[in-house]
Order: sequence, then C-alpha cells, then structure tokens
Amino acid sequence: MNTHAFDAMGTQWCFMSERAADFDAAEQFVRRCEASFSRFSPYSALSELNRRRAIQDAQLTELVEVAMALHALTNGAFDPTLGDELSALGYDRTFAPELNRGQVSRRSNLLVKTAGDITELEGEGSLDLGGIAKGWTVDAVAMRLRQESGGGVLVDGGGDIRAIDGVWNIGVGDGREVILKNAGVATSSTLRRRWEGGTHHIVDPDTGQSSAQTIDTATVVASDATLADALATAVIVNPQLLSDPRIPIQQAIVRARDGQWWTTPNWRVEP
Amino acid sequence: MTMTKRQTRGHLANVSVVVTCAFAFGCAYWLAASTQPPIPAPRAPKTPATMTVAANAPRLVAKPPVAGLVRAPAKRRIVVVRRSRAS
Repeated sequence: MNTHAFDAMGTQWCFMSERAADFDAAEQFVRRCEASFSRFSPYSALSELNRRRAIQDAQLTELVEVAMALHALTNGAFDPTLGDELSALGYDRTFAPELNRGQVSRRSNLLVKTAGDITELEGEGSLDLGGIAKGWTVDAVAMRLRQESGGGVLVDGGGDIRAIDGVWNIGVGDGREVILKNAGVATSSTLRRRWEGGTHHIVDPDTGQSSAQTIDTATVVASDATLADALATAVIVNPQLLSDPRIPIQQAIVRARDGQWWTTPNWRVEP
Repeated sequence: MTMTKRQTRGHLANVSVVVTCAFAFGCAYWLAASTQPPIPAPRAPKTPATMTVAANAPRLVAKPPVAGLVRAPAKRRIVVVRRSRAS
C-alpha cells in the first residue's frame, strides 16, 4: 500500500493507493484548491467573489453550483450563504478557541447566480464553502489518483473520506466502523470548532445562531465525499432529514445530545 | 411360699408409691404437651427486594432523536485504515 500524508486546509490529509501514483502532484492540487476556496485568505478566489460580487473561475463556479444544488436538496439545512453569520460568530479566520464573538445577523438573503464559468452574488451576505470545499477536493483528488494508478484508492481530508475500488474499513462514531466501497463518508459535529459558552461553527439558517438540535455529531455515508459532507452538516441542523426518502443518505450514525449513538436501520458493517 | 402380713403390707406400699409416681409423671407430661406452643412451619425463602423493585418499576426506554433510528451496534475491535472524524 502506498501512502502520503500532509497538512492542508487546516487539517491532516492522507492518500492511500494500492498502486503507485503521483502523490506530490495530487498534494499540489489540494494546495491550489485551498488557495482558491479559503474564506480566510484575502487572496482566494472565494474572497474575491465575496468582495467584488462576481468572478470568472470555472472551478469555483462548479463548486458553487454543487453547493447551491445541495442547499435546495436539503431545503436550506445545508446553507453555503452564511459566511457573514459565521464571521459574526467569530469564525472569521482559521479556527482558534479564543476568538471573540460579535453580533449575529439574521438569515442570509444572498442570491447566488452562476452562468458558464461566472458566479455572481446579489444582496447581502457572503459565501462560505468550508466543509463542502474539502469534500469536493477529496473527491477530485480520489478520481485523479484512481485514473493515474488504475487501482483502489482512498483519500482522507480531515475525516472527509472517499474510496474508489477496494474495500476499506473506516472508523466512525465512538469505536465503531463502516465498510466503504466506492462511496464517501464525512462527519460533522458541534463538539468541534466550539467556543466558550457553547457557540459552535454549525449555523442554523433559520436563526443565524449555532444549531441547538437533538444531534451533536453525524457521520453520513453517501455516494461521494462532497455529498456526505453537506448531508452530515444538514442532519445536524435538521435531524428529520435522516428519515426523508428524498435525501440520498446510504447510511448514517449519529450521536444524540445525551451521548447515545443511533444509526439508520440499514446500517451495516460488512461488505 | 407364703408372705407374712407384715411383708404383704410392705409390698402394697411399694406398689402404691410406684403407681402414684407413674400417675403424677403422666399428668405432668400431658400438661406440658398441651401447653407447648406449636413448632413453626418452615418459612418460604424471601424474594430479593431488588427483584420486586425491578419487576414493578417502569422500564426506561431510550428514545431515538429521530423516529426510525435504531441503537448503534456494539463496538468491535477491528483494524481500520482511516477514521472519519469531525475536523
């Protein structure tokens, strides 16, 4: 097994490939994605879009379209237009627990338009592609490594994981596991990136405040890491999505606020 | 063999003493038996208090955060290649 580990996007990355692959080139791709999608860098394409309200960037526009499609799919529970709300909560730079909190604005009324490789913003607010940008990058790298190597690959970007070919045991929950085959898995939790007083980074679009639902951690298995990341966040904001047949969750394991772990009925640990 | 009158009186006296003692002993035994409290029947073993409480107490059934979810399976010790975690 060939492996390659490094730090990017504020977290740890790991590539695993059954056959040899150009890991260095793949790492550079991750770093370019970080430079383009970061809300914390004033030089990123996303920051330029939020500042100038329009940008011509094919990769960013593709990601924005995916994010807005998932926004619609989850009936707004996953909301990439809450950049201003996150900044108001104090999440305006790479996470640090001592950040001060400001005033929280109400729900964003940001209108996002895409056409070709151009993205435009209308109204107040800003885009935040944090988690989904990571999932999208994981998927893109996994497909790239799979194409190069011709064998099974697994890409782990800080817990957002995509497997293509092969059978992979992935640890989830509190000492449990899931078998991943040609799928993605991601975990969201209000227990991470949390400040004093209980404020955390997952914002409820209806209130503009940190979500206070019955679930504090959700791990979702879906067809890819992009979808898994967005849905893991969405079910924390709206747990009822777990039983919504329109939502393409393959399996999920969640932690209720009392510490008990629950799964969707189809949860399986065997291939 | 003939007994003298004196000997006969001595025998009768002995017999009367024996009969009197036997009668007195029999009466005393009867009296004691009739006034002794009955021997208690063996007691049934006590049911442990905890069992009674458990049987009568309402069961605490954890409620899932969303209808339709089931309890997560027990943990197992297996080797995982990576771990999905919130970051």
